[in-house]
Amino acid sequence: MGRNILCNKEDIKPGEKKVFQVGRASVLVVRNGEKFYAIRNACPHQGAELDKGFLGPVARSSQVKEFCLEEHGGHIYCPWHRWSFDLETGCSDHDPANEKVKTYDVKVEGNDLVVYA
Amino acid sequence: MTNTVEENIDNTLNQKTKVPVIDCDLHANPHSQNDLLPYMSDYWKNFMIDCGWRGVFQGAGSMALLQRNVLDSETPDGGTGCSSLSYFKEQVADKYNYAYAVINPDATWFISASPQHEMAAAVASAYNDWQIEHWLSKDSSMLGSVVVAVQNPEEAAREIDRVGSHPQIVQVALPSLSPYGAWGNPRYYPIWEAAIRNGLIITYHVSTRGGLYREGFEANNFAESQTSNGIPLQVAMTSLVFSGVLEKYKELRFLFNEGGFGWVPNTMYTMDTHWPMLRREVPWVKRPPSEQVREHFWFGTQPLIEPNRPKDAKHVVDLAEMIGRDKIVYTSDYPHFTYNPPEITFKHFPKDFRENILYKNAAKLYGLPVSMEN
Repeated sequence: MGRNILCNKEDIKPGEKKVFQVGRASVLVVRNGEKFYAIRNACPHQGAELDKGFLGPVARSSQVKEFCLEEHGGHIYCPWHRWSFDLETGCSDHDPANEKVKTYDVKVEGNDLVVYA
Repeated sequence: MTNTVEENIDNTLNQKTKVPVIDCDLHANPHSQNDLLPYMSDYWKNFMIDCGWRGVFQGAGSMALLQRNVLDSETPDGGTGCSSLSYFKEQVADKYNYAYAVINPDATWFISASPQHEMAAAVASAYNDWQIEHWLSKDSSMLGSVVVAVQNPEEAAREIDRVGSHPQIVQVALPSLSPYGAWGNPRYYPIWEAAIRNGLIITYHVSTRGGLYREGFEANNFAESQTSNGIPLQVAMTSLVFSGVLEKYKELRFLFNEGGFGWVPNTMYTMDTHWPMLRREVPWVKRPPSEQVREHFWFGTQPLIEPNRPKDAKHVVDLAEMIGRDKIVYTSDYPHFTYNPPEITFKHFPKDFRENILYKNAAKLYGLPVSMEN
């Protein structure tokens, strides 16, 4: 697993996302507050580029007819069919056990934003 | 599909396919509804401006939608998805080696729900002239639909005669839900006759709900509504078969769009079950219903059934095989959010079947020349 310096951490502002080519992989980096996430920039459904989608919350419900929006900005929505994924785990919100997008370790080291891929 | 292999995705998308593609359901639309005004008489132009028309008829589409289009379909200048021919060519047609795309404007499924017949007819005509000027006349690979307001079938037939002879107009576009009576009702004979006169097929597209459309069941959210899209098409098919439309008009050919095809074997064989038992009611039906379906109907792929269990994907191919390898055509639904891109959507189909779906069946249905060099 290689260490790849992507950019200065301030190049990505809170709420922004940016795509980097890391080897053969297109990696989407997202900043939510002070937290950075890195995931593969391809939806596992039909391959749409996730960076063209949007960041949003996850809709949850513990019982029928209950609506709850949580984790604002912590999920990426596909631009095509609106499949959504937890940026932390890469798990899809509709079938987290089986549908996932690959995630990468991403760290702030000094002023550098570094991804391990 | 739930059974996609993530590692294949980048390669699949970057590889320009050599297989030509005919997309039988492209939703090109005006950049703004005002683009339609030049094609209306002063009377209706004035009416539309004064009523603040925004592109849908009040009461025709009652569902609030969280998502309408794929997000990367918007034009660089902020236009709605698929409102620019050049942008569509760049983003989709050239990327996927399109040979042809058949336009089906959104008006197809809401315009006939309006109780204001004369206004609906004026808007339908405007859509047709707009299509011809902005898309068909600019690119010979773009094919068009006659949009009609079917509330008045005689008026709809006149509209078909007005634009139906254009060399790039290939079909009459109808909504799956009818405003008055079942689709087999004789009131619609003028439309069938006009289509035949002009050498056009009939394409049904799923409808919005509300207005004059009475689907007879309730859907409380868009998830239910989308999933039940095939039901009005089943009703249309049984009506067309048992009412004798296909015995009276043997030249008619129908394409059913956006209702899927998984229900087709069940419906055609269930008709076969009931036909011998109940034929005293419908003695004019001479051919077995399944034979009529195979002769007169084609089906768009979208939305392709996507079983949550990957191992079930093979049954989707089995269902398509039951209908026939020559009866399924590729429909993208672009730019709507249920868009299915070519190739990756059908990767679990056998190669020759996949090629039939992507272009060969549509080329035969519409009588289009296609070469592998597209």
